[in-house]
Amino acid sequence: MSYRVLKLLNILIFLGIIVCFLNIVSLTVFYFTDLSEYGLNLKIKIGAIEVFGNELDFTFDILVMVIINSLLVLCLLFFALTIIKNLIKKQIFIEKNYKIIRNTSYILAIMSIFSNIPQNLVINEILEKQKVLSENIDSSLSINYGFLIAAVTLFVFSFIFKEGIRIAEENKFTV
Amino acid sequence: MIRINLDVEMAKKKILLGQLAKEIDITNSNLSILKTGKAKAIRFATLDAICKALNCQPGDILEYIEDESQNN
Repeated sequence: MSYRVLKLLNILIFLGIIVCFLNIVSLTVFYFTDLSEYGLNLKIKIGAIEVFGNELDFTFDILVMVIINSLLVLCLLFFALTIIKNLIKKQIFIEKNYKIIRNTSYILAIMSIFSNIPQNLVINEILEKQKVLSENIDSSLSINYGFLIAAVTLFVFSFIFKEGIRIAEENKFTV
Repeated sequence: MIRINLDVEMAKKKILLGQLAKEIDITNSNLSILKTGKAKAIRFATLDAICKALNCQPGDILEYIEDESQNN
């Protein structure tokens, strides 16, 4: 991958971090202040659902779950940024990159549990409003198998990467 | 484990690291890695060049010593 592409990715991920941070701040402000007093409204997109803030009973549970998910995404973006910075410096097979890959797999595993919760909480809220929610419908917890498979794949890849570090070190110290 | 006695042989032949590195055509840093025992492997070509330059046998440079920590 060329140096320019890596630089561009670096900038894009940095912008992603800013957007993610602003997302957390705006949601927190929206929860604690009544924006409708000022004639303002917030369009909230959680998973596949996009609703206007005043149409949704934005509970504390939803806020906490969205913030947890946003923080996990922030962590992933920081890891990606560090890996790209190391790639630009041509430091590939190093211990730091191995730890980042392994930690990314842990975060993806956590995200597989948490990522669907905010969306499902919103669905529950909407179903409750429409008075169609019955005891038979329970969509509060579901595992995102996409993230889970990615986590397992990355965890296995981290072991391959560790072997790569060992070979690179051996090559470096072969005289 | 294998102990590197390159420093001993170099002292015997009164040759400096820079001189030897130049003679066998490897960098000072690589020869320093070998001399300080940090090397993980040595190429036959390098060993051949060192033996030729120092007029010695591979056994004079490399020595096997029993590692007690590995036995336990």
